[in-house]
Amino acid sequence: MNESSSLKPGDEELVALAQKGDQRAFEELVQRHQQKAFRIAFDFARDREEAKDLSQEAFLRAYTHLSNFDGRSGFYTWFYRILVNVCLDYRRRQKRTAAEEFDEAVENQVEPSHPAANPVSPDQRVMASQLSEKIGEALEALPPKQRTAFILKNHQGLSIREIAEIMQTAEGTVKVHLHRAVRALRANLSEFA
Amino acid sequence: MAKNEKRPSTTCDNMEQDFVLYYYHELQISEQSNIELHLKDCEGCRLYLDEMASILPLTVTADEPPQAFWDRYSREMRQKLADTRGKKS
Repeated sequence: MNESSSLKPGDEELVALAQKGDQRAFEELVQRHQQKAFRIAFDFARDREEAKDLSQEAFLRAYTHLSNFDGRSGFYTWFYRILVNVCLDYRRRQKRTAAEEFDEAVENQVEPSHPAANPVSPDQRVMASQLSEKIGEALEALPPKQRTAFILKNHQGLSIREIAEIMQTAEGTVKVHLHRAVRALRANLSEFA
Repeated sequence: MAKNEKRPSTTCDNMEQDFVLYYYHELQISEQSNIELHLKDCEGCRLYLDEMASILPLTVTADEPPQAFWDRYSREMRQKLADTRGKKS
């Protein structure tokens, strides 16, 4: 996970330098983790610009709270915990916004613009977009902890141990979340098997 | 909706979580061997695993932005960090 070599300083060395005020050191950390951070954020948001903003927000939060990093876990674990929290906050905001938008639309008798609240007849869709939509809905329907465990395992290939560290929970709990997520997704997507 | 109303296959009792962990290579070697032994004789569980292996990769939506996106990403990030430093000082 740590991509350091004998020539490159490790993440923790860069954090130590950044904590002493070395701005380039933190920029190097960003450079090192931005693609993976973006991919995780994209898994939550499924939108490129949102994923960019979310991953950047996580870096900024990490930068602001860098003095709290005590090295008990790796920078990677610490940072991805921040990132997952930023993404979960985003999901909560999204749900609130969608609900408010829907209420407003009902009041004004206009169609809400949120895609989840504005389904188009599947008969008008090609198979690919039908599948993509169904997958989006199935992921969306997962409770936050199940979704987080599933994304970190299935999409990002992290180990159960790493996921447990990021989610600050027991490995057994991660296994249960993962199992429940897979069971729900299979139930929702079995027609595409 | 013109759906193929296919029901998901099921596993033998209490083995579903083990299959999930097996799929993700998260079992100990001995547990893995037990699963493989079971799979040899159980068509239902083989079907379950095949189905899982065909569904789960579909859920990954990769986005590979062009280099221009990453250039913009870095520019924005540097600016946001500078703004944060400005606020701090």
